[in-house]
Formats: sequence, structure tokens, C-alpha cells
Amino acid sequence: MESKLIEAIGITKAFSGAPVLRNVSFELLHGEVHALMGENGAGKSTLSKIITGIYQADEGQVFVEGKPVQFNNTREAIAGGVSIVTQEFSLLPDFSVSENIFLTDKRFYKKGFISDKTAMAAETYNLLKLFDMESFIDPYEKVINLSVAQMQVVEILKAVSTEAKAIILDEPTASLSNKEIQMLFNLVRQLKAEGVGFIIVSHKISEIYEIADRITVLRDGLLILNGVVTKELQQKDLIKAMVGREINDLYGVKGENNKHRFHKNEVVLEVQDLTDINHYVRDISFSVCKGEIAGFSGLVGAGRSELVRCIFGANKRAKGKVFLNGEEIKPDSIRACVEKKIGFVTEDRKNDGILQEISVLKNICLVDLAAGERILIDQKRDEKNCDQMINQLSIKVMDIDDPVKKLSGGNQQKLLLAKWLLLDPVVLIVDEPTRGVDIGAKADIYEIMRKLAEKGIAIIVVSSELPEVLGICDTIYVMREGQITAKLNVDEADEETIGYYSTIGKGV
Amino acid sequence: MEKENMTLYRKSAGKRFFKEHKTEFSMLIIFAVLFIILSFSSEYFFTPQNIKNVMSQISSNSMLAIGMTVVIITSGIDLSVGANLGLSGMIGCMVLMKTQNVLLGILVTLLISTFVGAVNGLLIGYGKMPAFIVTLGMMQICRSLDYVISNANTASKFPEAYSFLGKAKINGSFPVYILFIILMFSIFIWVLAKTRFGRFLYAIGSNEEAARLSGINVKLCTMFAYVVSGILCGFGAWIMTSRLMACDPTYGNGNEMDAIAATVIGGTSMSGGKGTLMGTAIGVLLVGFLRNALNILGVNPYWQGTAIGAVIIVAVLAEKLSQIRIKK
Repeated sequence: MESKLIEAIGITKAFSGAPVLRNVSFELLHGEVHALMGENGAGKSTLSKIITGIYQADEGQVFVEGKPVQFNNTREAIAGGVSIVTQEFSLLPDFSVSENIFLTDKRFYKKGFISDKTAMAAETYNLLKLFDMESFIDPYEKVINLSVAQMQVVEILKAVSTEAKAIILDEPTASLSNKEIQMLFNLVRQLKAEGVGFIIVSHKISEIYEIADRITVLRDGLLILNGVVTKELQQKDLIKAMVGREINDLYGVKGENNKHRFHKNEVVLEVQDLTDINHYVRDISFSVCKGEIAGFSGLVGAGRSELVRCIFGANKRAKGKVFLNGEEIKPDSIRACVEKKIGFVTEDRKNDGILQEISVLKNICLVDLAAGERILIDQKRDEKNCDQMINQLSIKVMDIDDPVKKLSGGNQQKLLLAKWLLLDPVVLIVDEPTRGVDIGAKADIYEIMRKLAEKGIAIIVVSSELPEVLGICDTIYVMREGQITAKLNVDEADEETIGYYSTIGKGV
Repeated sequence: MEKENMTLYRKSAGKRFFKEHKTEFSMLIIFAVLFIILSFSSEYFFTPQNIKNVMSQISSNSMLAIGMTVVIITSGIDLSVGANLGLSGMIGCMVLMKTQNVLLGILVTLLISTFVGAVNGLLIGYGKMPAFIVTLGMMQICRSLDYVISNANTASKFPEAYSFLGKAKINGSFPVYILFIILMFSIFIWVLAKTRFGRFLYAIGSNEEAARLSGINVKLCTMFAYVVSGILCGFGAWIMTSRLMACDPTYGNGNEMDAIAATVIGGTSMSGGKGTLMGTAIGVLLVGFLRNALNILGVNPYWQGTAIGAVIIVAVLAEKLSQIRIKK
């Protein structure tokens, strides 16, 4: 078992002269889960893309089972036994699960046509059964109807079906609930027992400790920790290796600074009997006070995002009312919410948050322009606002006229916060504040949110990360199947209680 | 302190202008090179008479191309512009012929074209239908109505005053319509760059959902983009009919393709959110002069499509290649 499955030696890569990887070495053993960690831009994605032939290294050599290889694309890598599951899935949405898994499998084709769909589905069923997932995924289901977790499983099974010896998972748990993560990890463990090696690219420290045997950390393209055994590495040291500085209190001191600012008697936002048109959320009532950070926890699909979208008017509602400072807000109207100074940072940064091709300046000033009455653009005002926000949130920008896609995930997230802060919001809704954000920016974002709450802004946070919810919120609402099952004070909440109410508990 | 930060994050105005208009500059260079080569290959090419000739040929296309650019920036498309020009021009000209009232004729032309644009805009913005399908249908409807209403006859015998836009010259040499084209380009360059409506168009084209969630009235703005395109079809019809002092039901036929070509050559991205009217202006000139040169050089008309088509593809390819290089 201790032979080397993949070995990369002295990998160097530069994009337009800027070095991304500098003499990095990496090894993966048979039956090992090896975590590749680092902040955004550390070079971990680049390294995994070099191993799978998406990029070519400038210098260095990759070996698979001792033989030097030079994959020119992922197809050659798959043939060589190395598969990658990226965040952007490479599945065909309108094809069924089994068709996707065996898309390139010659056994099921005759002269280029799919010959036997039943055999394909049967094979898929067997594969699913191998991992006790036959009830979780229907082989005939179209991929477009699957959840992210199911797609992830399909991607991995696809890799397994090509007899992959090594599978690279890029941020596999980014949008999975805890339960789904466990299922995924079980799959990984089973395959690992059969000798398959995994490289997991991730930011999530707690998960890495659960699943990974060894950890390699990159920072600024340099190898910082080379395959350290997970058990021998303290979390504190891991974070220090990733960030390059010590972060002691990621979430601030629990409960302490919260108490000073939270005005229990001043209700700002009140939601009454809210039900959305698709019934993803039903009869939800709650209220948020001035300076309170209210967190919504629960499994994926519990209706948390749908709830906040419904409050903001982005999803249509069937019934219910929303009051701001006692005044009812016009239903189903984003514009009414913006006028009343409610801000909403969406969950999916790429698809409904930023304007990728448009400049930083124009992105930051978009809400200000949309909320205002001015017909003409006030260049001076925009520049001043932009400058102020970049300084206030310490957004790292080379040039405010650069398109936003050039920024890192963390800075894009800060930019979205900045865009809404210019509105001078009374209520700020943040759906998944730190998804895909590196740990340094994460600490910054928590700090920003705490400061905003201190200023008296009521903040609603939706988060899938329990430590995050427990770390920054004053009140925690747990949701399950479209309803609130518990309202917990942060002092009385812990991971077990939240877990209980998000799965089986019937509270309130 | 503030000054200092400003220079940290922002390039000087001049550099910024160059950076933002890189595509346009490269197109301008290609255009200039082409122009010089053509001037040497035919002595007739670079004469005031020929330049004026080309300008009159591109006059209506430049109107359609402005509207097309506005629409494509929102990641839409307007295939009905050529037919809209034909229909609105025809109805306006028939009213003009009957009443001999110049103002009424122009007004009817503009009203009809705006109405067609508004119907497009309603269906696409509020009905959420695909722009390609709606405007494809509208193109067929307009062209067919054009023939029905005119009974396939040419309208003519307009009052002499109607020829002002198309034929009048300032100081006896500078045509009024060139001034009009410059004016329209200037207005819409300003609209796109300096107004909130313009900024919203880019935002919608770049990411419609993000724009909606930022509080932008996406439906209304989208509709207005098509209304703008419609109005400009009316202006195109006005220039064309007043220049020719007649209106044939075939006018504008296939012009949507030249408008799209000019827009794309000018660097506007078909996926929206990116592009400028300065680029489109160069695109219009490039297509116009290329057509003209092919005629002058006696190239078989059948080959002209191949030449224009190649230019479109090469222009987009060059843009793509330069992007890939920047990425690497």
C-alpha cells in the first residue's frame, strides 16, 4: 500500500511571467486521502490541473506509479488512471445519470450509437449498490434534476467507472450539507480501502481533519508543508501555515462583544406567516432587532435561501407580511426593499452576485445608482464611494477599472458587501457570507459584519457552516423542510442541538 | 491622503481611455491600413465624391447599428431592424404621399418604428421570451405587412422639402445627414457611458439576475433597449427615403445582418455586457468602405459576401485570440 501513486517533482508554472507554482513537489500514495490546502491563489488548483493535464508545467515532472507521464488533456489523464472532479461539473444536464457515467464507455456503444440503455442503467445500479446509494440516485434521472450532492456522487462514480486510480476532488463539499458531506466521505473511505488515492483541494479545516491522512499546504506558489500526517499537525499550525500569520479568534470571543450592541427591544424587521409561492418555506414568522445578527441554519434544501429571497422579493410569496420598523413592505418587490434600505448579498456570487466583465468601480456603485434618482452618472461621487469602500473593507484591488473577475473570491465577496453598504442599509441579508473564501478574508468578513451590527444594522445570515453560525450570530434559527424548528440563543446552542433540530427535532 | 489612494487604485485618465478602448484602437488601425491600401489600389477610391458616396450608403445602416449595439449590450438581438425600417418607412412615405405633409410623414415613420420596437421590448422584457425568436417573428411580420400595405408598389412624389435630411448640404458641400449621423452617435455614446440607463444596460447584459437583485428594473430597461432600436429604425428609414425620395417595399431587406456585422466587428460581445458605439462606428465604416472598394475594384458581386463574412470572422477571432493571450 505504501507505493507512490502520483509523484510530482519540482513543478514550476508561471502565467504571463507571474509565477504561480515555484518548485513544488507532491506525492500521493495508494489508498491515501491527501489534502491540498492553501488560500485562494496559493496554487493548489493550478497544481491539480497540471497533474491532470489541463495545464502544462513549465518545469518539473509528474509520475504515475513510477512512470513519467505528460498528459495533454483530461482525456489522456483519465486513460492514465487520474480523474478530476472540478467545482464546475462536467456533466451533461439533459442526459440521465447512467448515460453520464458511461458516456465514453465503449461497451455500451455500437457504431457510435448507444445500444443498450437498460444495461447501462443496470450497471449504474450495481455501481450505486456497491456504495449503498441505490436509493439515493435513480440511474434514469436526468442530471439537471439532481442536487449538487447527487451530481458530486455521479462525478465520482464516473471516475470510478473508468477505473481511476487517483481522483482529485476540487472543493467537493462547497455546497453540501453536513449529512451529504458524511455520505460523500463514506464513499471516499470505501474507495480508499480499495486502494484509490484521493487528492482533496479544500479550505474547510474541520473536514480535512476528518477525512485526510496527510496534508500539503501551499502559499503563494511555495510548498509550506509537505505531506504532514494530519494527526501530528495542530489546527493552529495549519492555519498559520496557510495564512502566514496567526489568527487567534476567527469569530471573535463568543457571546462577549455580542451582548453590548444587541438592542433587544427595538425590532427592526418583522416577518409574519411568510409562505412562498412554491411552498419551499411555509408560515415563517420571526423578527430581528437592531444590532442583532440572526443566523439561519439547517440542511441544504431546508428552505433557508428561499426564505431570505422571499423576504427580499426575489422569490414570489404566496402569503405573509414583512414589516420594517413597523411599516409593511410592498410584497414581491426588490425595488421596494432597496428603497427601504434592505440589502441582500446572494449565495451564488458568480451567477447572481457580481458582474464579472464589468469594472470594480461600476460593480461597487451599482446599487447606489439603482437606488438613487439620478439620471446621470456622477463620476466624482462614484470614485469617492469606491475609494471609501476599498479602504473600509480593505479590498485588495490593483486597479478599480479592472473587471471584477480578476479579484479573488474573498475580495469579490467583500465587494458585494461594499455594494450594499453604500446603500447605508438598515437590514442586511447575507446568504453564505464566506463560501469559497479563504481563511484570511473570512476573518475580515466576520470582523466587518460584527462592526456593522455594532453600528445598529440588523443582519440576517444564512450559513451551512455550523462554526460560523455559532461564532458570529446572536440568535440562531434552525430550519427543516421549510419551517423553523428551533430558535436558539447562541449561549444555549451547540452543534448537536442544531443538528438535532435540522434533522429530526420538532421544536417551537 | 485621499488623492494618494486614488492614484494607487486608478490609472490616469489617458491610460484608462486607452485600456477601455483597446479593441476600438486596434479596429481603427486595421481600418486605417485597409484605407491606405485601397487608396493606392484605386485612384478613384480616395476622392471626395467616393467618400460621400460611401457615407450615403452607410447612412441608414449606421442608425440600425446604433440600435443593434444597444440591444446586443443587453445580451439580446434585434433581427427585425431591417424589416422595421422597411415597414415604418413605407407607412410614413404613403402618408407623406397622400397628405404631402412632411412633418406628418416623419412623425408616422417614427411612431410606427417605435411601436414595433415597443412590442419587441414588451415581449422580451416583460414576456421573458427569447429575443431571437421574438424579433425573428417580428421581422417576418413587418416585411409581410410592408408588402401588404404598399401592395408591392413604390411610394414616391414627395414634397421637395422632404429631401432636406438626405440631400441638403451645409455651405453647399457638407451633407446634412453626415452631421445627423455624427449627432446620433454622439448622443448614444453619451447615453451608454454617462447615464444610469446606459450603465444598467451593461449590467443586464453582464448578469441579468445580479442586476435584478441589485434593484434594477430589468424588465423596463430591457424593453427600452428595444424601443431605442425601434426609434433608430425610424431614423434609418427617414434618412434612406429622403435621400432616394422614394420608398420601395424591399428597403432594408437584410440590413439587420450588416448592422450585426458592424456591431460585432466593432468589438461588442454577442454575450452582452461589453462593447461601445465608437467600435460600432468603426465597424460601420469598415463594412461600408469594404463593400465600396470591392465594387470599385470590380470584384464580382457574388464574391462580396465571402469578403465581408471573412472580415467578420477574422475580427471576432482576433479579439478572441488577444483575450487568450492576455489570460495566459
